[in-house]
Amino acid sequence: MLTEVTFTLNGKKRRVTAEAGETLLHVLRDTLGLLGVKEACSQGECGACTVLIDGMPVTSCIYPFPKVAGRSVTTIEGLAANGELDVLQQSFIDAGAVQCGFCTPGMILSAKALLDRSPDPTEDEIRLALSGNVCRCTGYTKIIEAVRLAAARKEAQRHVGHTDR
Amino acid sequence: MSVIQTAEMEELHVVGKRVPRVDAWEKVTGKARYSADITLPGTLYAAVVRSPYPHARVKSVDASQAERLYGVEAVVHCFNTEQGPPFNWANDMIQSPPDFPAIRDQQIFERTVRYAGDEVAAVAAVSQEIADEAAALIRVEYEPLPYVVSAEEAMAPGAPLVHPEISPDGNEIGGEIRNLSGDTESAFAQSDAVIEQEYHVPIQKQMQMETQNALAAWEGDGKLTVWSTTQSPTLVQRILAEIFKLPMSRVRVKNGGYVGGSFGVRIGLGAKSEVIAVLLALKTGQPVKISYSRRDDCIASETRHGGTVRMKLGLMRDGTFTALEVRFLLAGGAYALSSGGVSGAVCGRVGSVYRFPNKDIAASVFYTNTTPCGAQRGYGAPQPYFALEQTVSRAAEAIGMDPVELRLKNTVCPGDDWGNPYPCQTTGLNECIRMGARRIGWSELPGILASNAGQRYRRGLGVCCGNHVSSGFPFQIDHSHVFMALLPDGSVQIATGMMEMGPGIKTALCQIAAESVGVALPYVSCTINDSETGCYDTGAQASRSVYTTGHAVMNAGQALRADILKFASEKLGVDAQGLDLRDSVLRAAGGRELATLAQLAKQLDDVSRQLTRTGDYTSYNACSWHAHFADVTVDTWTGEVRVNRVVAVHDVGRAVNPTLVEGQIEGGVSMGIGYALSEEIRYDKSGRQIQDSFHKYMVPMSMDIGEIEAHIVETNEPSGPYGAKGVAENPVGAVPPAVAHAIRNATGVWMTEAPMTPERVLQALDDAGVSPYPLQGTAESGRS
Repeated sequence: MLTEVTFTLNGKKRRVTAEAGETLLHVLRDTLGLLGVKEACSQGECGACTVLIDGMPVTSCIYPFPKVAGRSVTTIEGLAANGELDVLQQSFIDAGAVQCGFCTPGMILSAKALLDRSPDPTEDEIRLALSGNVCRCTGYTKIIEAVRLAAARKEAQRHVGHTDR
Repeated sequence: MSVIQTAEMEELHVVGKRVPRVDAWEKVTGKARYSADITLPGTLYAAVVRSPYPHARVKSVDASQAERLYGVEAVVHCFNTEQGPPFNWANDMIQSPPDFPAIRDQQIFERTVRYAGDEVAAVAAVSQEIADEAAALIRVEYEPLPYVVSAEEAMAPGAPLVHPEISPDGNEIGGEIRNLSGDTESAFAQSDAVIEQEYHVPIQKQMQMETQNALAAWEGDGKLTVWSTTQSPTLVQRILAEIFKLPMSRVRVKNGGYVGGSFGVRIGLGAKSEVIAVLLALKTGQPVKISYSRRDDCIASETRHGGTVRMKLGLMRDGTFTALEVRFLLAGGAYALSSGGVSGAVCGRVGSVYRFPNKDIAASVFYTNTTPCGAQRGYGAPQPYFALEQTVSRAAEAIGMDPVELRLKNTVCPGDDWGNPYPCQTTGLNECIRMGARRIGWSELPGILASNAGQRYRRGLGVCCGNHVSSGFPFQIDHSHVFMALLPDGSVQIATGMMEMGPGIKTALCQIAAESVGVALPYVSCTINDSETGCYDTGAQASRSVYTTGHAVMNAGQALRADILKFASEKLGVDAQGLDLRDSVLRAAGGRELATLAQLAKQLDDVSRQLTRTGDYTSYNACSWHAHFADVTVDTWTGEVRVNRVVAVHDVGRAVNPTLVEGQIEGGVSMGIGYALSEEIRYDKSGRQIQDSFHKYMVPMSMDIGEIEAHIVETNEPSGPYGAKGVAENPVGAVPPAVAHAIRNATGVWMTEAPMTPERVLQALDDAGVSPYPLQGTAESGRS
């Protein structure tokens, strides 16, 4: 049964028609071509499919598509505004936190949700916030460093009066 | 974190620098593409029917209801698919040397299924939903057969045979591998101390993020193109050509751009993903895509080998090792895959770390009706090192010597007979051990232990060391070739058969090219991932990517550089001696700028010339070394073990990119912590895999990992490009014995089985009377 859902996607209002029983993951990837959202378990257990819904990290592979009605969805594609990387994205590059890249979009979004609500997290808080995202490549070490680097950079930007992103 | 050199090493300009990854931008923006992301117009989707039985004859397959479903284009199974010559989905099928050929015991579909998960039929339909629905409508009639799920069951007299057509006399896969030297019996008799112990090691799973998937399409000109997740595109090109009776020149294997990790799960074929996709594409004439669910990936793609290691070590009172006797008994799963290679590797790893004048090392692998076992990161190392390193630490206690001192006394030196069929030219192991001991605070151990008395939480330190190879030579046919060209604007383009599954080889190869030619890094590009745009390469495995393909790139680059300097000297009328080309600028001996590489390249083009070179790597090998120290806290009330810190010190010859090397160490430590504490695959009484998803198979998450401190020692290996050796596989097998040793120090108990889950640790504490809350009536839970 087809359903039409209106929601905000990466800052733009969208009206999308899809099967009512479809998951948000499949609509994002197959209908909307947002292939940065990854599928790795389809059971909500690994976090690779993480997107933000109203700023909260959600495993899109088990999230019913119609539930995004009226809400704001952010995928990894929504981060680099005007081609300029988000502080987190740049920090992941600079800290060497990227290897195979399959967990990276979900990991960055989980980190973004953390920094947006808690700008100066401790290492334990970072590890807790990322505890729903599996990474099999990095051992998490440089990912944690990347998030701390991003937090420090955002703090520095605030002091210089830059717009927080 | 730190890089230490033990040999005289030339300072380089690009190699050795922490250059940012060339593929990082596309991965952080979500623009990187993987095979999982690729579809073509008209793509059909595949679903697979898998045997629920560990061993059965397939009596009939009724696909009539499935075929009637709207949108179903083809159904293939063992009764309508030609049984060709058997194959082996592992790289061993074509990489095994001619005098030690791989066992070929697989078909796409067969009328006997040998493990719960074995493929019976596959459907191609216009959507994944319809394909899944159709698969559920296929009626299969099975005749269940008796089965075996462990090596012990498989080797018992009268055990049901898994492959009577290959091994009619019993379930052993191939023959026993045995390495003998000296006289162990006399040596043990003359030793001051002999340590004997049996260890149990688990089946581990790669749990890479991108599951097996493939897309197969027949082009208009009859060429087959397959998007695959393989670690070796040109090997799969060759395997598919052989299975489907095509010339290699009519088969192209590529991936979507990157692969989401592999860790050995697909050095050859990605399980049956490619062959099923190709078969369905053949039948339908349309592109066919197959994506393994996480469960399918767990149960139907290769795991690491688990089993039993019996070890006996003799030494003198002064710490000199006298003899080593080892018996490996491994379960191999339902198909041979790389069991031959792994059984050789466990013998090679265990006998090459310390000097043992007398050795008797043997390995046997048995077919079992379980998920086939093959390669996983650290191929053949975690099993022996879990046993060897704990035994060495026990030996230290037996003679009252510090376990670090005992190791330093016996480690292999260059020139020693170490059991490998190539010499040990460099080893920084002792430096790794000394540095690791300093960084962990080994001298503080007595104080740490003293403060444990009567405490709930007890802390300990442990040590482990070992080595790993840098290529498959000589046990595998192993080679890499590249093609390099200077483009008319001074860019350098390299074609390689490598692929990028995460470690950063694309970046490292560009650095090596920039260094060897003298071209600026932004002007270098490398092809990877595609058999058609690359050269033959035996793939990203055996920690070989830098050592082998990197060497081929260096060879080509140095030759190209010489060609450029020769042209420049002729063109400019200057002596080639003293000319220096660096960062795309040509300078005279005094440093005066003479020309840019762009200018020289244009001048070549002006006379209708282009400089090109091929690069080959001459098969060879070297071991890289590691010492790990673990700082661990045990909760004696719950059995939980917390790894507070791992100090991991690695001799990698030379770090082409220290950030990438650290990434490999840190990631490998994480996989090692999983092996040590939480990861295992077991089979229930009906032969089904229990841990078939992320919530049952416990890989370490961010909160499970403490501090990882990685250090690099450089020893300038003569056979490696710029002195480099491998690194990626070393860390995995190093962590578990270091953790076990730390648990021993913290609590007094030796853990002889991995993973050292809270249940097992608590049981061991209870058995030793260490736990203040004795377990009552816990008969079954957690018992091995």
